[in-house]
Order: sequence, then C-alpha cells, then structure tokens
Amino acid sequence: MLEKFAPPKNPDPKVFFVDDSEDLRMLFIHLMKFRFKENCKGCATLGQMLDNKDEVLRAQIVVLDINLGVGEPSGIDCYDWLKNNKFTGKILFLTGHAKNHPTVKKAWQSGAQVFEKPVDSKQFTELLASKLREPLHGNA
Amino acid sequence: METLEYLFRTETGIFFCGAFISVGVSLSLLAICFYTVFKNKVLLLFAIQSPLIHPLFLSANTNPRELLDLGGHTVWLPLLHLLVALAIYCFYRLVKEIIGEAFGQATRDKVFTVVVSIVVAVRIITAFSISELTIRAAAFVTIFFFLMIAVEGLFFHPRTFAEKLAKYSLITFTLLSIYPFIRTGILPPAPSDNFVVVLVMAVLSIFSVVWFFALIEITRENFSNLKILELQKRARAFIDLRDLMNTPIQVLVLGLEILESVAPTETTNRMRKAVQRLTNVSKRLNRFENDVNWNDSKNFFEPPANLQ
Repeated sequence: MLEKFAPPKNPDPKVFFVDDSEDLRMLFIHLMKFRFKENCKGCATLGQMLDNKDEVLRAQIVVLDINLGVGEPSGIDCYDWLKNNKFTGKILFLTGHAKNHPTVKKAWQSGAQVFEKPVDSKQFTELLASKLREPLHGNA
Repeated sequence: METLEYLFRTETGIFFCGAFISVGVSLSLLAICFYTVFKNKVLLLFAIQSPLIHPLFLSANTNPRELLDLGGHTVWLPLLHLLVALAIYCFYRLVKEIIGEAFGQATRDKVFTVVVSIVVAVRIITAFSISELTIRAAAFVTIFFFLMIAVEGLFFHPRTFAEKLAKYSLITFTLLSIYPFIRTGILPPAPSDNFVVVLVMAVLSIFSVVWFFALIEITRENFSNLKILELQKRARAFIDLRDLMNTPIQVLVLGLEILESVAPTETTNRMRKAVQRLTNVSKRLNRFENDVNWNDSKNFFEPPANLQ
C-alpha cells in the first residue's frame, strides 16, 4: 500500500532523442539535465526505440532524426510507429538533410515541427523545456 | 556509258559532280568542327559517312558490270566496294545512335544488326571477287538495308523538332534504293541514266543537309542536357558535403554550450566564433538544394564513399 506513495526510483524520461549519433544524443541529454533538471533518454534506431517502447510512449516529447543510418528505418518510420501506437506527446523532427528530398518532405508534410541541423542549442533546449511545461494535449 | 559521258565530259555534268561531292565533303568538315565542341561520336560517324556516300552513289552505275568507268581496275574497284561497306556500317551506327533509346523493340534492333552484318559481309566478298553475280548479290542485300532504314524511320517517334528532321531525312534517304533496285534488275533501267543520276544527286544532297542539321541539333540538345546533369552532380556533391557536416557541427554547438555554461572563457569565445563560421558555411551550401534532382537516387543518405 505504501509503495504507491513512494516516488519512483527511475522517473520516466520526459524527452526521448532518436538519433544515430551517440555524441549528439548524449550531449542533448546532458544539456537538458544540466539546464532544466529534466530526465531524458535516447537511442539510435527504430529497433532500439521498440526495446524501450513503454518509456517512449510515456515520454512527453520525442525528437526524431530523419536519417537513422544507411539501411535503417528512418525517423518517418518511427513517427508512423508512434502514431499507430497512440503516442500522445509531441513529436519533433531534427534533420541535417535537404528540404526537398522525398523522405524529408514527408516529415514536413506530417504536420510535426521540423528543425534543421545545426540548431541553436540554447533556443532548442529552451523550446523543449517550454513544451514540457505546456499541458498535454496531442501533438504540436 | 552515256551517264558517265554526261557527268565527266560536259561542263554542267562536271559542275553537278563537283557541287555534289563538295556538299558531302564540306558537311563532313563542319561535322568535325562541331565535334571539337560537342565531343559526340555521332558527329565523327557522320564525318566519315558523308564524304563517302556522295562519291559512292555517283560511282554506282546502273549497269551492274560498271562501277564507275574504271575499266575493271584491280585496285579501285575492290576499294570502292570496301568503302561502300564502311559507309553502310557508319550509317548503321549513326542511325542506332540517333534512334538509340527510341529503338525500343529488341527484335527490330537485332534484325537491323543482322541485316547490316549480311550487307557488309556480301560487300566485302564482292570486293575480293568481282563478278556480275557478286555485284548483283551485293545490290540485292543492300535493298534490305534500305528497307530497314525505312522501317526505323517510320517507327521512330520523334520527341523534338530535330528528331522529326532526322525521321524525315531517313525516309527521304530510302528513295535512293532506286539504285540497287535497278542494279538487281527488279526495276527496269530508267529511260535515261542521266535522270537517275540527277535524281539521286538531288535527293542525297537534300538528305545530307537535313540529316546534318538534325544531327547537330540532337547533339546540341544532348550536350546541354549533359551540362545540366553535370551541374546537378556538382550541386549534389555540395549537398552531400553539407549533410555530412551538419551532425558534427551540431555536436560542437551542444558541447560548446555545455562548456560555456560551466565556465565561459576566452577559449570558448574563440571556439564559438569558429563554430558560427562552420554553421554559416553549411547554410551557404543550402542554395544548391534546389539544383539536386533526388529522383535519380534511391538513397541520398548514403554519402559517396570518398567523403565517408
């Protein structure tokens, strides 16, 4: 009975970064922790995202890189999976590729916000933090 | 004999002959000049074919035993037949180059190749054993060559004006099949050989000029398409380069942000400037985005091996 009221030992990550660059993921996570005391997590591929699917679905924001490596499912596939699994948080795309490429176009057409690398890290993390403070109601 | 009398013994005859041969030779020289610019082998093939077929048609007397009045010369006569074989081969290659992708039908393509091989082979045999039989045989198979040209011309669906010109010049060319028809005896000899020679000279001159312009125009179009492709390739290389830079720059931006929030120093300031410069370079490459045609690449995420 008492367990119910105890704070969870490992709080769910608020933001989930899916990017094949480990350095980029780790620095984002570090920065979010450092500046806003927010717990974030990340992974490299759709497969790894599925391994953590409970955490991902409970996250408030998922940041998807569009290119997750040669031969890997793209960020668009991650987006579709999240949509099909009734993810209620916000989805943001972060890409380093041309706007008019068919895959990147899909991201723009999805209605989710797309950010082009390199983003201003201060502004971007502040944006993430402000989105975390917004009440939860579907995608931005 | 009377034709040759007319051509080489009268002033008008010599004038026509000279004009006719000069058309072939000058178009050939022009084609070589254009080749230096466009670097398309079509023009070289034309440069070989054009000066050959003009004198060769002139030499093709309707009397099968007489191929120009060479008195059965042992060197010139075989040489002329070999040149006919060369001209036919060049012409075949040229038609294939021009109609190339529009060829479509693989069977027609094969039939054309087989026909040309036979025609060339029979010509070469004729060159080495000149007799009435071999000359008639050579003329007979040449009819099938003309037939194939006619088929190619008729089934060729031109997309541009130049291709339309090429199509109609090929169809005009088939009028020249009157020679092998007379030589084989399928058509009766014309009432006047002069008439046939003048007709052939006129048709061939018109054909050569129109064919030449069509070829120039087609190679020019190819040339500008190639240039566009070249520019697209360059734009693609820049975009690939930019895409490879973006994630490392992002890592630098994030790392610097962390370092600065711990302790901003003179060093982090300098690094900030450098990172800003890299960001600007990446942004400056954005303008090449619109020049890249993504349709031709299945996966643009795969950077070229030499950049990886």
